[in-house]
Amino acid sequence: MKSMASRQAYSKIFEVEKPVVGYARFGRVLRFNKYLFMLQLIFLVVVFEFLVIFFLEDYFRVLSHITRRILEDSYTGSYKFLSFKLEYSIPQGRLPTLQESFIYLLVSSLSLLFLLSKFNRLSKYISAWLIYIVFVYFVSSFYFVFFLGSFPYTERDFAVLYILQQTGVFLFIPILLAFSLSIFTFSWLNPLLNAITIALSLTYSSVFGGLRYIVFAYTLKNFSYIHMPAMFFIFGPLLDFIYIVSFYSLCLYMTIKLFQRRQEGFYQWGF
Amino acid sequence: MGLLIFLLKAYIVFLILVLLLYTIRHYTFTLNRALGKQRLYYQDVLDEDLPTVSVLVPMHNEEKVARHILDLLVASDYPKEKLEIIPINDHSTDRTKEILEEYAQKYPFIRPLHRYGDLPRGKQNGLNDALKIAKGEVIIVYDADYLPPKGQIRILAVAFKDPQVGAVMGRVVPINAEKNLLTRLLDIERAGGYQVDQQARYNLNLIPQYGGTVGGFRKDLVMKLGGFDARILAEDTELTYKLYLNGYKVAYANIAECYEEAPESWNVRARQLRRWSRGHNQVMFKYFIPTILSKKLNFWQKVDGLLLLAIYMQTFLIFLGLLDSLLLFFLGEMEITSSYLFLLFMFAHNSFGNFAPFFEIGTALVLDGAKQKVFLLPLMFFEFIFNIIYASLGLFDALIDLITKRTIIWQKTERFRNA
Repeated sequence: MKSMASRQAYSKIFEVEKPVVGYARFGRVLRFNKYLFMLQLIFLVVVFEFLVIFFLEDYFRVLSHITRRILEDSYTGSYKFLSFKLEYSIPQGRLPTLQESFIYLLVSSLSLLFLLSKFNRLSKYISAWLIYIVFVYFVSSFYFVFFLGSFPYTERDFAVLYILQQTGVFLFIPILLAFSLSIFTFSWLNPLLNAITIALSLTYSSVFGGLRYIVFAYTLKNFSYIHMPAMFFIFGPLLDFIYIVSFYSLCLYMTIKLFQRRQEGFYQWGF
Repeated sequence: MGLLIFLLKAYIVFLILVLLLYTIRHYTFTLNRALGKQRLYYQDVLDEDLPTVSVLVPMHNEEKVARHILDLLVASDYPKEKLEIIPINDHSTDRTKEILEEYAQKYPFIRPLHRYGDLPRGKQNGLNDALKIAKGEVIIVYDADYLPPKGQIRILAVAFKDPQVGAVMGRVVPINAEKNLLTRLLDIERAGGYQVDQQARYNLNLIPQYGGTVGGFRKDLVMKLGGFDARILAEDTELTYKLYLNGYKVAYANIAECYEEAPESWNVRARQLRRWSRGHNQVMFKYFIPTILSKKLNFWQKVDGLLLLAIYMQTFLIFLGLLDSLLLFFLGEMEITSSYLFLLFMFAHNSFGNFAPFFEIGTALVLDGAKQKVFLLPLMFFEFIFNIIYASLGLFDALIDLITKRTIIWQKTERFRNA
């Protein structure tokens, strides 16, 4: 019969070893608190959407002001979106000359031919992106060579489209990230971490979106409308998506880091 | 012109709806896998009355990897009197044949099948020939670059104790994930695909996919169903649908992890992706209508089955969406019906399709506890246009196959391991 001391020693060993075993990855799920999930989902969406809506007019007013300061001779107007009056400033853009368009058409055609040829030694994923970028410029220059007079946008239309796009990004960030991050409910630290992630994404988006607008407006003024398609189809929401995913992955990293310190606290068997 | 603009806008709305459907699917799978009750696999079944198993290993010029997989299969703990290993040497011109003969002399349960001469090349043809000589009740298949652990055959074979199970599938994990950016990206994609997608489909009684390797099926059943269609490259996807349409199911064993060698060069990956897309789309053409009409599938299995069939078609739809939106841009019709829909339109089709796959992969990495790998998520944008191009090319190949009924030539994935 085992003595009390040996039983205590045995159970002590067991207690020490138990947390080391851990839940195997094939069958574990996240520890989940549905109340905290609902609470943080509602909190994150409502609070950040409210902040976006609250600051929307101010943001575009400040951006308009900065644009006017940097790019002189800008036209200032406003666009009515729902009940918001979104202000913008935009300098006068210019249409490309026929010669300019032709040069772009020639360069993009030759680049496309090279990228699609067997002489192309670039890695396929880089080639794929270059094909896409060059293709957008090919279509754009083709249009301006043959349908110059029919270009349907002015610089003001561009500003309005940009405002809509940027507003879309602002409105989507809290929804996308809140839905994806609220599933982490193992600690009260999660809502805090998730809120910081959404706040960082929105802050980055407002700075990046503003800078991008000024660069685009400068390009339209000093270069030409030939770059406008690239502004929407290459340097538009695609770039926004990259930093949103980056902030999401940063938050995941921090979450796993927290997880790994107290493994028993966040995984459980899923059976 | 009015009609053209209407059609272009209608297509964008259609694309948004399709992407929304896939988004809902991805989110449902991810939430189910991360938080829901998991369906037990059969690993806890303790039964000494195990079925006889034939392990088939299709090989074409596999001298770099042949010894590795054969050594591991020899070391398997499956009772040797119930096991036979049939490496299928499919027109190899390197030392594969000699290596196989060397092993066959050493181990009586290794019985290589050499295919030369007029026999048509290809995995599906090799499997059909091997099925004719295989003695096992259960067939387990491994590609030649796989490294099966000791107890895996037992884990996979035990699922066939359930008479409803027609096929079984394990989890694929790249062994060379640290090699370069591509292998790292493929590694995290696999994590999302298996840890979340396959397990969630198994949990929800939908359609987990038999993947043609690290998996197995009932020999008699597959023979009865006519074996593998020689004109279809994705013999695995075809078998999945064949089984479900005949009232059987595929069991998914998340516990059965097996290492594979992921492509290390973008050229090899491009060919692989194009071949997968071609094969998958061939299956889509063949099984889309039967899936809708099937009396063996319930409503949600049909929905999942159709979405799975169209998965490689999705990238082509996004490609058309990009062209469509460029046209709308130059026609001055960026606003789809109203300014509000425009927000959705710009964000939905121009942003990698949607956010849901990142959520799925990110959650898979959290479940795996793979801290560092989550930083790779934003780098997946490198694959965006690449995937669109090569998956679309695969769709065109499948369309030409459908129209011309041409003979399919199998292209093997190049190996990178040192012999």
